[in-house]
Amino acid sequence: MNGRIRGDGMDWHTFMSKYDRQIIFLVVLFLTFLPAFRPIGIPLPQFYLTNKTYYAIESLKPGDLVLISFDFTPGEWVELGIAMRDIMQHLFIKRARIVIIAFDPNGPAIAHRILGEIDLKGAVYGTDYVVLGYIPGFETGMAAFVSNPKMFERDYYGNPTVNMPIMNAFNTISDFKMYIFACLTWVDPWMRQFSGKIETIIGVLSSDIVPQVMPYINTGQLYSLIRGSRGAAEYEQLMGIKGEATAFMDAASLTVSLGVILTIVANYGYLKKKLGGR
Amino acid sequence: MSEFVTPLIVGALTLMAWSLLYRENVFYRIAEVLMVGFGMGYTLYISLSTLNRIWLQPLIQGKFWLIIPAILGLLLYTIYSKKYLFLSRWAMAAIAGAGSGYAVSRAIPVMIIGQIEGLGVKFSGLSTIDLINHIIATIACIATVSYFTFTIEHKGWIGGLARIGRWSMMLAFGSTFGATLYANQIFTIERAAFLAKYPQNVLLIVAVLLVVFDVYKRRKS
Repeated sequence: MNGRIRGDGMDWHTFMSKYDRQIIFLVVLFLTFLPAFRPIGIPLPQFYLTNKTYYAIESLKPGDLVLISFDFTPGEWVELGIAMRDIMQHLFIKRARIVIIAFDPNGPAIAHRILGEIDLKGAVYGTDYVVLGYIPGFETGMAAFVSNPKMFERDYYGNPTVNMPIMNAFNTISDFKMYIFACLTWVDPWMRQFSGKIETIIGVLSSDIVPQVMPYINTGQLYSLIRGSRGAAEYEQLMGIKGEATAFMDAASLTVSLGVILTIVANYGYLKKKLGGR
Repeated sequence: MSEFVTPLIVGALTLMAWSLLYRENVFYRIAEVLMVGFGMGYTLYISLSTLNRIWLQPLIQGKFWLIIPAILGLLLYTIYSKKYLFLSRWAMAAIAGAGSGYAVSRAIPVMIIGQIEGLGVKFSGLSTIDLINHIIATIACIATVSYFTFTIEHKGWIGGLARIGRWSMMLAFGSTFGATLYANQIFTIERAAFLAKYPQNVLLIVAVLLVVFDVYKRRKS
């Protein structure tokens, strides 16, 4: 480990600290592209909350009302969109009735894209599912929707909602059996406005905020969650499909392993420097 | 035709954005400006169409009370006038007041009472591991709160507790950092998987050749 790697006497950690940026970029790029050209098939253990989400949706009966909000931007597609697509597919398989809203302006377009990519299993627009569209005002908008879920007179496409059978299936927020929301940010506003109002709340969240969301899981205020694309890959395993997220997991495992190795190397170098300086 | 051209455009824009990793250049600038422009354009379109759907159409149909939020919204623009600046504060007060009211009224039952209830140890149905986990979480919670208690000097037992609180926070931040690293990696991975496919993989070769050519040119000059 302490071998000198250059003729000018520079040892490995001095070399690494001098050229770290370039070396890390190159190695990350290599590890990222490698599985894209040649899949490795690194095993993927299941997170218990992915199972919990899957079985919660699996237990839905045909006709159960599910509220979904798409609260992220297209840039976050890979982290949240793929998981939402898998979950939507599962909901259509279970023949749940789906009401789609958004607290982000980009949400309805993402919902529209997903609906175009999945198998709707013969579901009829306006009867089995509806895209109501964007609700401005963020938390104020959430509160408004919770107090009156029939607030929409027209759907995202401009159709009047008054004659849609699905709109007559609910009067209050508690008529929904399940609420699934996808967001990349801190979940407090969703929890504040929806917690205790709907029986089962599930979050599709970015991996980086999962540790901060766990207190809501522990108290049961948030029933379960899917942690980003990793969760999507686990969900695809449960559904028995080899989807997009599964394909990314080899590269993800490799690059995260690199992150762990680099953290150890950097700390070793730092400690050696610190102790050597005494 | 679009199945061939669209991936090429998307691939080219991805590589233009990534070109910053090599060095600052005009391709990166173009990609940056395009992204901001498209993003703003789309958000403006959605905002206007939403306004039409939830405000203008109901107003035309006779819901005249919707004039009030519109006036409040327009008052925000008086911020640009020194004379009428005070009017924008009325609109701000309405927005902040409603927002805080909705947030605070729900924060108490959900974020305070709900979380405190969750701290209580429920012995029934807990496995040994869960119980240990629960005790650690409770100690970490109390210790972290004590770290932010500044009315008592952090000496003696309170100092020890505050130190445990600091360690707890460091563990939590470390875990969050690791998850952030993972989450950010996945964005690169998705792009890499996209660039590895035909026809956009041709662009990848072109990009590598361009970088090699530039390195050679710069070394020569």
